[in-house]
Amino acid sequence: MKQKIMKIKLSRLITKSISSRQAIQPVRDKIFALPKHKDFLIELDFTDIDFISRSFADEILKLKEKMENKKMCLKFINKNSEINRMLKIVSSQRMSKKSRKIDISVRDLETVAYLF
Amino acid sequence: MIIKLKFEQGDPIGPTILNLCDNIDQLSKINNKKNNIIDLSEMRWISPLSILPVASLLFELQAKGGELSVIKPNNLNTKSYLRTIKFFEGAHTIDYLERHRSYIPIVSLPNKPTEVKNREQVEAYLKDILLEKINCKRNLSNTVGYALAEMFGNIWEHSKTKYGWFLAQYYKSKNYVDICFLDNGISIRGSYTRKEIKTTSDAGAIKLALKGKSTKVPEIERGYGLWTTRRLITESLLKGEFLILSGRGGYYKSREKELLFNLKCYWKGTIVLLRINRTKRKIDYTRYIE
Repeated sequence: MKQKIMKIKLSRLITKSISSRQAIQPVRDKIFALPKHKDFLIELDFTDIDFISRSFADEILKLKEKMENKKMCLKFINKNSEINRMLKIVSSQRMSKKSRKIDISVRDLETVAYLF
Repeated sequence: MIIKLKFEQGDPIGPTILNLCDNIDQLSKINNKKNNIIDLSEMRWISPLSILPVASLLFELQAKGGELSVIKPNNLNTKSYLRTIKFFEGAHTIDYLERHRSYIPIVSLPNKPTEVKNREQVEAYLKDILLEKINCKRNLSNTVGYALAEMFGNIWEHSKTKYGWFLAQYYKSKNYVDICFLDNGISIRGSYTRKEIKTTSDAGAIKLALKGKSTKVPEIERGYGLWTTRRLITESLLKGEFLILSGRGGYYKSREKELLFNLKCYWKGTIVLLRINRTKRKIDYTRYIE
């Protein structure tokens, strides 16, 4: 049987520049509200989306992972190069985290306020 | 009770924080419900860092039933600017911003799940207006978008605040923009405490947050926001300055200086200031976020 396709146009559902982690909620709601949603191939359509934040990228990657674990398929379509890059960065950072060093001591504001 | 607030005239951030601390202390003394007079008569200069915290505190006092009257500045330009930015209640919706497209007012957005779509639209709109003002829509759109998303994201995800606040001002003659975000929530240290992560002080908590210690253990893709935004603002062509005030702690970074300090006042929540220089060149923001 041919798999049914459901396209979700993000710019229509949210806005053209997606910033918060919580913006994933309407996407989830839309997918899981589908009757027999497991029978669908879901296409997340990035047409007209010019920016997604790191948090939103993390959320859609998590959603994809979750759906794949349930033998469902989520496909990202019509991404621009920057969105692609963001997804790649977040995807690689989900595997390992770089450590950072900050070696500065604490002072009182009164003693440093005229330095900046 | 009459509270006379002081406002530093000038660019440097350090002295502005000293003044801000005095103002926070003064406003924290208000304990009457009635007859509170906020005297701004001598105010001649306003910056987002000096006025946004005051606006949010007055808003909070009023929401708790406090009666406030404001003596407006004698200086006509300052008085007019306060009206323009909608001091002190701010704007909350996309409709208001669309009707007043020529300037950026104080914006206070509710931190409620039902408001996510409105918030997303307002954030996108603020970015657009800001970029239009500095005429950098083509080259800085996603760079500014990244910084805005990360700073707003911290408010929505960690602060437990009722409102997130925003104000930006472009200083054309100085070629830079000040962008200020704040919340009246639990502070960075408070966020760690809730997750039973020990910190030595507010300044210590800021340091930990910059190092990327996430309160959302064990998720690896967390704790990047402050560090990467700090890098983007200070190491890129924006040649900017980055400031965090949280609880009794503060952190400042520019290309030349990095300072961690204790405040003599207590800010219930977190304030972030991004000062960015206008550039005509395109910045590949992804270089700074890895």
